[in-house]
Amino acid sequence: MTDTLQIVVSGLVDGCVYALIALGMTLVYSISRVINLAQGGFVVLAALTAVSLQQHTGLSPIAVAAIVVVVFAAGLALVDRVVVLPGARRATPDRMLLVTVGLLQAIGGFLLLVWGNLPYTMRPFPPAGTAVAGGVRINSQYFWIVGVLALSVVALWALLHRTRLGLVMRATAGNPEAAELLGVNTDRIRLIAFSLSGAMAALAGTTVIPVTFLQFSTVTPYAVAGFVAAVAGGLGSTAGAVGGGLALGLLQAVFSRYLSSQLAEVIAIGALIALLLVRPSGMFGKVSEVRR
Amino acid sequence: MSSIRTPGRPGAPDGQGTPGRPEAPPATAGARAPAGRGVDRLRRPAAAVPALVVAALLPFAVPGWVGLLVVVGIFFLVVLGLGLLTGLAGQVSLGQTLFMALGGYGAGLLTLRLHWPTTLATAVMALASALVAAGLGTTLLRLRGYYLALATLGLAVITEALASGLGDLTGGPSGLVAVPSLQLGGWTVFTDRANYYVLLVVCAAGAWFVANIQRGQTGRALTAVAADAPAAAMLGIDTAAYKTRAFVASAVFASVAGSLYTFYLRFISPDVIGVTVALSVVIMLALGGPRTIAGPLLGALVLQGLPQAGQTFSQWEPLVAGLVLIVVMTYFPRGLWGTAKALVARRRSTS
Repeated sequence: MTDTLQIVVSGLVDGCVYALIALGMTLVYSISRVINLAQGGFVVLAALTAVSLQQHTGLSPIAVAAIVVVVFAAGLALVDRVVVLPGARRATPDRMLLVTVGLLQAIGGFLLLVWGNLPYTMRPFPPAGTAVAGGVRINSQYFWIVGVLALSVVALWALLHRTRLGLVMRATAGNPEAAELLGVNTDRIRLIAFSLSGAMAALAGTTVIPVTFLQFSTVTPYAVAGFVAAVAGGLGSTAGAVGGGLALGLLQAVFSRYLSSQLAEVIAIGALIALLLVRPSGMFGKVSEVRR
Repeated sequence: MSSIRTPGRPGAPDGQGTPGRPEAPPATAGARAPAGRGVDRLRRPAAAVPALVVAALLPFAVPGWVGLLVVVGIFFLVVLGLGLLTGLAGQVSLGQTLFMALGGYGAGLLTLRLHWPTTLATAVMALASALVAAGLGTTLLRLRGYYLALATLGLAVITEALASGLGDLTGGPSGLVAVPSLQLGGWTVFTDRANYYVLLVVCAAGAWFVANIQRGQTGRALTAVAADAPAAAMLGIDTAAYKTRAFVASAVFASVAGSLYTFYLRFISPDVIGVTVALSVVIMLALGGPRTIAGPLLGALVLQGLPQAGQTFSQWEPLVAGLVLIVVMTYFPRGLWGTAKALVARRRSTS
């Protein structure tokens, strides 16, 4: 029993990270109709940036995380302006996907150049330690990961449904042309969406690095996991991104207990492909999205 | 990629028809490809012969690079096949490594464990890949756009995971070793140069096949499917069948390439058919330019050649490849080769 609970806990923690990545992808998708595969790359880039910053300045990991979040929020707005927007103005969705694949590769290459091919980890956020509840060992960092996801979801929901800016964002997501006719500066809304996704990538990277090892080659698994979670949940749906992420993490953890971790991945992804075939719009998506 | 070319005459578009059926191109089609088709048909064979002669002499010109050329040839095959599916029919597949793995691991196991002749193993696995593609194609190709991309990316992830997960069968992460070399009759294809000439023949045959499809009626039907599937269906084109056929053809190309790769390397490991490889195959097609023969070759050459350009440069390769992909995808929709061709055509028409 405790054994199973332990698996569920660690699976859900992995799932929280996937959910954060998927949340960023979904937000960007609903505003700009671009699937940003590079989101997985930004997570690792943020994590390794945090490691180096922490080592060189000796600041507390929380302070480091805050700095990295701000830097990435600004950085992704820049990435949108320099890379994604020019691409989206010219390219079809298929080619746009490859633009972000290129971006993902470039980030991986940059990581390889700057940090080499060694895996990195970081000091956990205070208070460090391990709690034991009902025989299940819970790393204190897990609370930070879950908390960050919860905070992101609540903040995003409040932004979208309780503020005027959120209303404008939802209008842009629903019908960009109509929003533009009503005087919405959709390019500015794009920048905000990318900034938020950058902040989420940074949050995911900086909170997960203390409990794992990351290196240049981990960009692809994170990108794939985020993409799977976002699409399985139904593109453009916040609840779907979170549900998809948690489901993916849980499936992987449960199956890797009884099979090898590789076969767990096969079953998790196989299950999600099967879901797509049965419900092509994902768990929470709208069917009309698929029939474009 | 989705430039809509109206078929000259929509008569009898169903059925495979004769690939090279002469059909007068519409006179109003402007300076785009359809008008040049008649000229191309005269010029193509003439251009293919010198290209083949150069390719045949290449190992003597650059003796140190033959190994690289072999790998380029293998990826050229995979990308040629993908060109039918993605370039012509407009269906993105990020999972071609599944079929490379089927060809590679399948042929490796059949020869290693069951001592089958290498050519028979290659052919059997090509057939098996075609069957798998036919089965997957009817279900997966119902998905569109990002959803299809995700499903096929899933195939790539599953392929890599299975290759390292099924340790008893595949040798796990360290791979399948001591695979024999390719045997053709009594000839053991062992050296780089021998492998290169085998690939030259296979690639030339593949390129000839793809060129015929591109110019023939099947190619026009596939183009119609890519441009507007409902409109193509209204013209009487069985879109699902054409998409599946393109998928099957691309699978056979990838499977044969995978088998030849295994026989050349004499081992196969999960790295050889990893997700990164799956992505790079798509990149090669996009980079070189779809809908041509030279485009895939150029793409394979650039992407495989970059890491060889020097030890210090190999560190920079992923970054540079990524940036090149972004720039080409954003500003040169027809890829490097397509852009070069368009530039030449424009110069010729103005002068």
